[in-house]
Amino acid sequence: MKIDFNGKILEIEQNISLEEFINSKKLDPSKIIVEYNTIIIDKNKWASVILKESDSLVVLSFVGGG
Amino acid sequence: MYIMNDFEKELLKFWGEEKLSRIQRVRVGIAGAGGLGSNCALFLVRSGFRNFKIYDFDKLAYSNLNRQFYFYDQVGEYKVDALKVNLLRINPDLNLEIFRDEITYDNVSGIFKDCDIVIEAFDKAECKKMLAETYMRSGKLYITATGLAGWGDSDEIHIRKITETFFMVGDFSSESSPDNPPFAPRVNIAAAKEADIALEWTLKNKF
Repeated sequence: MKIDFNGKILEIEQNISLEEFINSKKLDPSKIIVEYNTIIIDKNKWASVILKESDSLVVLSFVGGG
Repeated sequence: MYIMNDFEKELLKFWGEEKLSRIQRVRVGIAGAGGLGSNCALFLVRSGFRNFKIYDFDKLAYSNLNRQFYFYDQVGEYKVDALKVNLLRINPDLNLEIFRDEITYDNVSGIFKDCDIVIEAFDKAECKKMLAETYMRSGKLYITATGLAGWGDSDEIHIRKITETFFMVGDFSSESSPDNPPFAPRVNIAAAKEADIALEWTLKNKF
């Protein structure tokens, strides 16, 4: 199935949770914001969200320095 | 109408009355007075902004002088105290509120309530995340920076517009570390882009 990930269409497997998807991208949960269909989802809820066809996911990553 | 100082009279010649009064009505909140915050504030003051709330709990160290808008004889002072002195030397009539407080999950949502623009100028990625979660959907203009350490490839530092009121600046990858510390040129490019986004947005919107 297809989802929109940071503005690009991505083919992923069925029945994947948001947590599994984030882990597969090797992103550090303490330094990212995840917007699922334009709503920010806290990391303690990622496991309970199962991705569906046409979902929109925006992941904002932060790196240190300032 | 208050009485303008001589610098503001010159700003008036650059901007004209309508634009300058817009710039002078806006209140800018800056989270952090390090490399990004001190320089971004500097650029905004030079552009005509008058109203600021600036937070930083840290004291100035010699290591900060490689990129932050401070001077040798200010080392040991609270950054916000030193920044106030430095900014007032450019425009002595700023309405500048400074706070020696750490921004945490306990106070983050309240501190910039009365600001039109919030600028993230932290060092740590976790703090950048915290501020973005709070202000990226607040309706205020929110500007954050990520990826500015090191040197070279400075055209990689660019602006990503996430929404009408949420902008990210940086190369999105150059993380600060002992092997790749932040230096003045790239930090200033990011700080200047943050300031320019604030300026453009202020001139486009009605206040």
